Amino acid sequence: MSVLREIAITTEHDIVLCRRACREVAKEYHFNLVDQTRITTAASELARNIFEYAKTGTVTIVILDGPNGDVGLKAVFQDNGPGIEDIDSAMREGWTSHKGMGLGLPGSRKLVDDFDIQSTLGEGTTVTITKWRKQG
Amino acid sequence: MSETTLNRRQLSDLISISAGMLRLKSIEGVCQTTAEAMVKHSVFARCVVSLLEPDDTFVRLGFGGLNAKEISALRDMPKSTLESMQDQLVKKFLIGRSYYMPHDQTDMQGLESSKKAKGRSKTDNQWHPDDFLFIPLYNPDNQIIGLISVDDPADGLRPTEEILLPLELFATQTAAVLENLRNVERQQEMYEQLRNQQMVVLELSTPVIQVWEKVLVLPLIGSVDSARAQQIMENVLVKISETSASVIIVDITGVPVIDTLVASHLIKTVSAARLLGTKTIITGINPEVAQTLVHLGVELSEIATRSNLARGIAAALEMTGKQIVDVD
Ligand SMILES: Nc1ncnc2c1ncn2[C@@H]1O[C@H](COP(=O)(O)OP(=O)(O)OP(=O)(O)O)[C@@H](O)[C@H]1O
Ligand SMILES: [Mg+2]
Repeated sequence: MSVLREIAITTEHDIVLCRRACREVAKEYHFNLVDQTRITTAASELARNIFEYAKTGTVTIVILDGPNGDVGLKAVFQDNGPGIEDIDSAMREGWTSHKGMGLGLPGSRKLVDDFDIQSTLGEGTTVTITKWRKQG
Repeated sequence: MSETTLNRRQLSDLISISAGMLRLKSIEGVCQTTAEAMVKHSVFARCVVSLLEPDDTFVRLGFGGLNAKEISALRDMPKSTLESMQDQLVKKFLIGRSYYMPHDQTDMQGLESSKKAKGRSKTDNQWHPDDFLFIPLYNPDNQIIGLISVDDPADGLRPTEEILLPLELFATQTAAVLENLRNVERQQEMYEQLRNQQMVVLELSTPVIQVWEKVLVLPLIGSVDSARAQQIMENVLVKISETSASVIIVDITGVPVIDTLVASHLIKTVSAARLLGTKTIITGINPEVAQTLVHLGVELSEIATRSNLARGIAAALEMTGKQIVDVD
C-alpha cells in the first residue's frame, strides 16, 4: 500500500483538484468508466463536505493490493472540523443541517464498495471509501 | 556636547523613528511623520514633504513646524511640477545628495516652506530667509519621487554636508517606506483587476444562446462551483425574461462531474424557469453520469432529458409547434 496523492482542502478549487486526482488514479489503475465516474462523484461530495462544514482538511488516495490480485482505490477524507452529532441522521437520505439535498453522505456510500465514517463532536470527521476494481 | 555626540544622538533618534514608520499604513502618515521628525531632530525649524504624482506635479503631504493657517495657505498654492523644478535641481546647487539654492541665484516659487523666518545680515555662510534647501526622496532607480524642503535653521547658517548627512540617511529610509506602501497599493490594484477579470470570465463561461425564436440553449462547459452555479441561474432567468422563451435546453456534456451541488442547482434553475412559464430540457447526460445520479439518489424524473443536444433541439421545436423535416 502506498500513498499516491495527498490533497489539502482549503479553497473551493481544491475540491476540483481532489476529484481530478481521484479520476486520474482510477484511470491509471484501469477502473472502468462507470466506476471512475462513481469514485470521482463520491470524492466530490466528501471533499465538498469538508470545505462546507469543516473549512479545511485533507484527502489521501491510496491503492490497495487485495488477496487475489484485486486492486482497490481507497480515499480518506479527514478534517478537524465540528464533527457530526448524529451520524445515523446524517447518513439518511435527505437529511441536511444546512440547505443541501442531504444526499452527499448516503449517496457516496452507495457509489462505493466500502464506506466508513468516524466522527467526534468538536474533534473532526474521517470518511474512508474504497472501490474495488471489477475483473475484465 | 561635542558635534559627534550630537550627531550620534540625532542619528539614533531618526533611526528609531524610521523603524516606527514601517508600521504606518498611509503615505500621508509617513510624510507627516517625516516632516515632524525633521523639525524635531535637525537644526531646521520648518519642513514640508511633497510627493511627485503620476502627472508630474508635487503634492504637499507632510508639514513640520507650521501652524494650521500656514498649512492651509500652502495647500492652496499652485502645485509645482517636476519640469518647473528642473532648473533648480541641478549640479551646481548640489551639497551631498541635497540641493541648496541661495536666494540670489534662483527665482523659484511654489514648493518652498513658509517664508516667515526673520531676515539676517547677509554674509557668506549665513542662511537667508529666501534660500531653498531640498532633500530629494529617490526610488531604487534613482528617480525623484518626492522632496523634503527644510527652512529656518536655528544656527542661522548655510547647510554643510555634515549637517545634511544624517538627514539624507533619514530621507533614504522615508523613501524606502514610501516605495513599499506604493507597491502594496499597486498589488491591491492588480488584485482588484484580477477579480474583475474573473467576473468577466465567469460571465463569458455561461453564455445563453437563442437558437430559435422561443428556444434557448445553455451549454455548460467545465467545473461548476457555487459561484458559477449562481451566475448560471441568474443568466438563465434574465435571458428567459428578455426573450420570453418557452423552452430552455441546458446541455451538460462538458461538465466533468455532476454531483449534488450541480444537480441541486440544475433542479433549482428548472423550477425557477417553470415559475416563469418556461420548460427545461437537460441534454448530454451520458450513461455513466445517469447511473451515478441514480445511485446518488438525485431525482431527475421530473425533468425532461434527452441524450444529446440535437435531440434536445428537436424536442424543443416540437414543444413550440415546429418540426424538423427532411427536404427531398
Ligand atoms: N465533514 C463534515 N463535518 C461536519 N459535518 C458534516 C460533515 N459532512 C457532513 N456533515 C453533516 O452531515 C449532513 C449531511 O451531509 P450530506 O453531504 O449528506 O448532505 P448535505 O451536505 O447537507 O447536502 P448535499 O446533498 O448537498 O451534500 C450535513 O448537512 C452536515 O450537517
Ligand atoms: Mg454534502
